[in-house]
Amino acid sequence: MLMGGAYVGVTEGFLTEGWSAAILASLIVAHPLTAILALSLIHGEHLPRRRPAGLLLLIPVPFLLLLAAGSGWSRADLYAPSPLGAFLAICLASAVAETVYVRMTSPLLATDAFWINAGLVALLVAGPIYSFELEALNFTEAAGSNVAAPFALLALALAAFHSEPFPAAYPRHGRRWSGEASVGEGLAFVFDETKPKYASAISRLEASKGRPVLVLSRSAEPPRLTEGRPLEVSLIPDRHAGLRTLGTAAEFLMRRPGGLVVLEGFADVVAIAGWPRASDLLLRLRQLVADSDGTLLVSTSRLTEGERDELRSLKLPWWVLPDPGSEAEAILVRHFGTGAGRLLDGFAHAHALRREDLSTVHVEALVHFLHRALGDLGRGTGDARAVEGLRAQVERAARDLRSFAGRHPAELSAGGWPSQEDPRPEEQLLVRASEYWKGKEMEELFAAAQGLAERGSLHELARAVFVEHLGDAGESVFRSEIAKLGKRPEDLLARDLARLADRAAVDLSVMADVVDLAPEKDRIRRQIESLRRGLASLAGDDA
Amino acid sequence: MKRVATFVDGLDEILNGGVPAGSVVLLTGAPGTMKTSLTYSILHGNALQRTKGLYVSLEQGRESLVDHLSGLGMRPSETEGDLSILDLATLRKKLPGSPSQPWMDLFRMYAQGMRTSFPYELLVLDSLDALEILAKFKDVRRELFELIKWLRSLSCTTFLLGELPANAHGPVEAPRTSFAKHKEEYLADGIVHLRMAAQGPFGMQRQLRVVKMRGTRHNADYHALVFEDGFKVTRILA
Repeated sequence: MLMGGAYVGVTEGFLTEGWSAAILASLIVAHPLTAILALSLIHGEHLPRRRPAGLLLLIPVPFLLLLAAGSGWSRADLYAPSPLGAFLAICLASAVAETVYVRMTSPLLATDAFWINAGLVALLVAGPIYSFELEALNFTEAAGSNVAAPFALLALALAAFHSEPFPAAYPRHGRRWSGEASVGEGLAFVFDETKPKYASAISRLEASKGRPVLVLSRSAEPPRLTEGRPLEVSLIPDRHAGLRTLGTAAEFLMRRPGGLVVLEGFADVVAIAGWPRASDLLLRLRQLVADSDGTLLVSTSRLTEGERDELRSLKLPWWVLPDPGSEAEAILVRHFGTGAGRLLDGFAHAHALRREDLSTVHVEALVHFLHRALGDLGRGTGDARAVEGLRAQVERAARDLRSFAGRHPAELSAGGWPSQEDPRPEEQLLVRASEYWKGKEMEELFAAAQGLAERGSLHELARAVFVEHLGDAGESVFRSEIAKLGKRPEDLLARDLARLADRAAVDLSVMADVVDLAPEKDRIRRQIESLRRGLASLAGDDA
Repeated sequence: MKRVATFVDGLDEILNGGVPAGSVVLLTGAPGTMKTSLTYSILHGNALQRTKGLYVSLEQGRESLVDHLSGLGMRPSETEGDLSILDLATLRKKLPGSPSQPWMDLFRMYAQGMRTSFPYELLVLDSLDALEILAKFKDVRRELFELIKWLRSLSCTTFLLGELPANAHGPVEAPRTSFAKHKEEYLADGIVHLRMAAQGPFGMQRQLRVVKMRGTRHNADYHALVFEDGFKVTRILA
């Protein structure tokens, strides 16, 4: 472009002949810069920030410029057998050699290395040939131009486009994070778990400390950046997903060195890109975090056994982690016997969770749920000693649950999980159970938990009926009507629904009386009747 | 710009043709300044021209309101169903547990719901102060902001009636710098102020001033508000 502009300027007479020297200088600089660009596209995560070796190519440039001025070189000497021509050939050849090496050794970058290589070879070959032809045609004004430049530009642009990071609200450039990390900096870890629960827990923990955290998964929400929360980026399933994952991590760590990258969706990368590319990606990510003092966590969730074996061969630090839901069940079984699974079922139902989604973040809610179930039992039973015994047992279970939730993955990876301990209930406890509870109160605790779960979902359904029929006012009217029954929403029972429906119908019938338009009165009455039917139907369903 | 005529002699001239349609207008004044009658007369005049209006009363029951307005010659029956009175004052008395009811939500539910079967273009809320007390505004300015924003979304012309304290120090009011209790004058598109002014040693006169009306080149002077077989707004004679 510079050559074309200068050519037009000189021909038209508004630029002086002195511009020829400027064009020669720009052409001399352009060749090492092209080589550096090619190297950056291959090793973009390292260059030029951490490994400025490629910039060494620029060192001879000032000397060559001086030499060109002193020796009277022109653009015609660019591709001639001269020191200048040799320098330009070395620049491009070194980049070509690197792309050939990468093409042979890196499955992840092989395709792009090919295109970069093609562009560079075209420049190398076309430059001298085109220069010779121009000279033969005596068209010296265009000397120094390279007919392969557009093709090379397209090839390099294609490679750059393939590694474009996934769309996200990336943080601004900042200094290296200097806080105390929970997992080692500059290292990559594999979290061996059935679902990425501990990977998520660590990402939240680190983000809460102010550490920049990037979570890459298929199911991430629309990307947004919030202080104290991980940056969640969705893996887009395209042909270059592996390369774009690398580009995304590099972009993030370049902006915020010392950050944590959590690859929750590694199984998705493997499925999309194939194992060879995925393993190459991991090796490059490991190098990337080592260079930027970051940390990489890779979850093995949903990997096949074969892929796990392949992953083990990469010799990354490997932490085998338990499933928090299963461990919570093991703790409850230890304290409440084999029927304790029903407690977890009740809790999951009440919180609209699947059992397999239970994680350490739910432990506090689970403890609260157990206390509520115990509270309900205390109101219903006449045996105070039994409730007191259960209360002590719930306290012990809560202590164990909290203790388990507080354990660091590094500690858990060494073993000592609740499910690995002797599953038999404590013998001492068995004696006390037979003495005080006569075996049936435990069943009552399970039933109370079941009741809690039903109520939790029931009040949500009733509330939805009010909102459906009364709009925004429905929420407040529902709470007001529940309060008139002397209950809290979460204490609503199926048998209360009929009373709630009748009461609401009577109260709301007044609302039709204050309108003086017959069609509007009818509309409100229909609305109330529909609400009453909705609640009645809910009571029927629940029964 | 589409304007809503007030059908009050002299007032439309002051307003350069009427109130801009879709505006939220705050009509404030001390007790006895005929806020209710004036706004009802605007609805009544429009209803006679087949423009539907809704009058929401939180303070005065329908029966009492109709009596009072019929006495002024504005009979609801004349409007042939184009003017509706929503009697939330009676609802306050009849609805069990009235103080705990979500009055703001109820008001919105009625105002929004009625538009489906009765597409009114004018709305009067009598009064903003009553709604504020019933709805137990916690953050008054924020909730007023939300209310006015919501009223604008209804795309009808709204009059909000606001009470100002009667002058305790004599019949002549000092010049006002504020026309609302919670700075809602900044939120409203228009402000109309009604006042009682002394006329000689014994006389009193109702006066009206258009303090603000967005999108209108209006006369901002005080004018006399007279009721003689209908409202009239005239120049104040010295």
